[in-house]
Amino acid sequence: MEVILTSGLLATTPILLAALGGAINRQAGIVNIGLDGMMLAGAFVAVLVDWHTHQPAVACAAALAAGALVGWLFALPITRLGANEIVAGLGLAVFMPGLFGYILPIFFNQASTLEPSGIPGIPILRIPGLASIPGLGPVFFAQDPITYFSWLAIPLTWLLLSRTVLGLRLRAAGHNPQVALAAGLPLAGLRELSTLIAGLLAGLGGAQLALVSVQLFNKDMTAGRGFIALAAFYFGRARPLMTAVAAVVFGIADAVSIRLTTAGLPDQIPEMLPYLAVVAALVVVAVRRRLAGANAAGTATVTS
Amino acid sequence: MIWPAAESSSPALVGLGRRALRALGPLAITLAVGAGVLGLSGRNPLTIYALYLVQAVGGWSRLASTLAAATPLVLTGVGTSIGFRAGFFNVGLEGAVYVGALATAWAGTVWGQLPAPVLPALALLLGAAAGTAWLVVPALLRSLLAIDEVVTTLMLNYVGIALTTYLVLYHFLYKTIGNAQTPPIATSAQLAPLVPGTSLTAAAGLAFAILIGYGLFLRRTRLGAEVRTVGDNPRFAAAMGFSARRAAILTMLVGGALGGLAGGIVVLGVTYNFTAGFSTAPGYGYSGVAVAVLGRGSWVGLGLAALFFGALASAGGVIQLFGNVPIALTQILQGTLMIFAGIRLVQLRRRRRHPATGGETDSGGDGSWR
Repeated sequence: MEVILTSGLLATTPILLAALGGAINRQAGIVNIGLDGMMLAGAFVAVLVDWHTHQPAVACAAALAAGALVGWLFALPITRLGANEIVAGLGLAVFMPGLFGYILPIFFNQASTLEPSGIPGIPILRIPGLASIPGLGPVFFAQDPITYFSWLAIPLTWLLLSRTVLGLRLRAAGHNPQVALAAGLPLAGLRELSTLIAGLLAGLGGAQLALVSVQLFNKDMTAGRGFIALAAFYFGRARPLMTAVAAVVFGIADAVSIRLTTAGLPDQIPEMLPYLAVVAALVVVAVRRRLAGANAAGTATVTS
Repeated sequence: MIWPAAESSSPALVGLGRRALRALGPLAITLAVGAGVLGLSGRNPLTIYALYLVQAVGGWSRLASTLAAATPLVLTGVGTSIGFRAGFFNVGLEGAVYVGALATAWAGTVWGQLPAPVLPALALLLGAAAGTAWLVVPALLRSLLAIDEVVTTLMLNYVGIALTTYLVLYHFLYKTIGNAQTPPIATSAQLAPLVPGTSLTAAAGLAFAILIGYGLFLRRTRLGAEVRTVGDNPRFAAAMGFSARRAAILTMLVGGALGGLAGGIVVLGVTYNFTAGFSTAPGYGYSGVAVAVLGRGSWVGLGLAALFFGALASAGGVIQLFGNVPIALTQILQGTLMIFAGIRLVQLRRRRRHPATGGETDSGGDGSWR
């Protein structure tokens, strides 16, 4: 149990970071299906920079920047040229592995994996005292710094969205674009900024993926985590807390499915869980809304 | 939505010219991005593009390969586009491709005693049925509870991929090989190549017939007009008594059937079995979404977009052998084309999305944007 929780939390981090980014993005009016590609960019740049500087902290900063850059570039066709966000997101998920599949053989003479020898990983940071609490201590207080940050990012995301002027503007851009436009807000700019933030967080998630348990990059290493993050913010209806809860549950399911694979049991069942959970959640919300509407109006609010 | 409403009512020639221009924008950007990548890595873009051209259309056998690669994309493109025409964003064909392919492979193996013309027909029918069934839930959720079909269909794709992998590994595994694949289909189930050495089969004829059928359906039938009206002008459609619910269910289920058929055609004509994860990036279903967006709803546009995607795929498969460029270049081009597929270089009035089927098109907030 302890092992599953520890590995579950470790697996949660990239999903959680990307999901929070996706939630901010969603609140500002863009459904980000490209999170996986942004995470991959972060992972690649993290390994590359760590290799050349031997400074994991610098590598993380570079991964943030790389994710942010990909996020911003990805937003432009959507906000400025009217590209469809869904198709564009699916396209980015094809483009990024393609790009690394192209770069690796040409510049690094590798087919799909970049594994520089002897590069420093991101160390596990045991919080003195707390880490020695029996049971929970090693689970929660012997993690890597990015994982701690990802927990901190939950209230930070909430603060940003609910308690800052920028958050209000971002939400206005998503929920009420007409009003936002009338108020003179730069709609496209706000959406681009939110996608940049999503890329930033997803990129950091990529760095955690590439530099904590392993120190390598593989062009398929995100293995759909960006899409699990998508499921998480859909499940959480783009609210920070519920999105985080979903990310943790899906992260633990991810860790369980990896253990099942090693045990030779079907891992496809827990793999399906996040996606089925989203559909179930949408049904619950829709039915509830319908019931509430029926009670309020005295009649069913069936349209068309 | 995907295409501005004004388009369908503009004069035919102007509309066609405008559509052609719009489709060329994404192509030009894609080629430019590819040229940039090639240039930065010390390759001459012109040489490589010339190679692509030769490998895509140089000679009958290469042309046949392009046509073969375009065949499933015509089906998934039409299947997605018909939903677009009614105002529904059905991206669930990828899942339908998987379940359809598995069902077809199952029929092609288990019903092996049946003779040649009957077995492929039955197996494909079963595949189409499985694809249809796969989209029943999102279609009903959309039409009854107004649940955003983008989310449900997208989520179910991942379920479909995992589910078929599970079914292959634990129920239909071909144990002699050890890979996650089903036993080979019976010889009588195979579609014979029309051009030796390629995968061009009679299925191409079927796909293009369905493409023309799609054009005729929308233009010449009452139901087709109803579907278009629901998509173009929901209020008018409601006033005319056209049911948006019926349009949602009809177009999404037809999409599922065509997705299943596309998967089945790949099994009977190309792979001769079902292999887990066979619809590799970008995936037949997702490529179909890009084809539908690029094709802008017209059957000619869809056909051309599918042929272009098919050409990329068939030439991309062999480009590594001749051009000293990694095969991943094709993925870069396909991904870029998808990212820019829907761009409008000339901004037109944005259309609000479909109030007729209920307000909730949005699961994260209360906005009505897409």
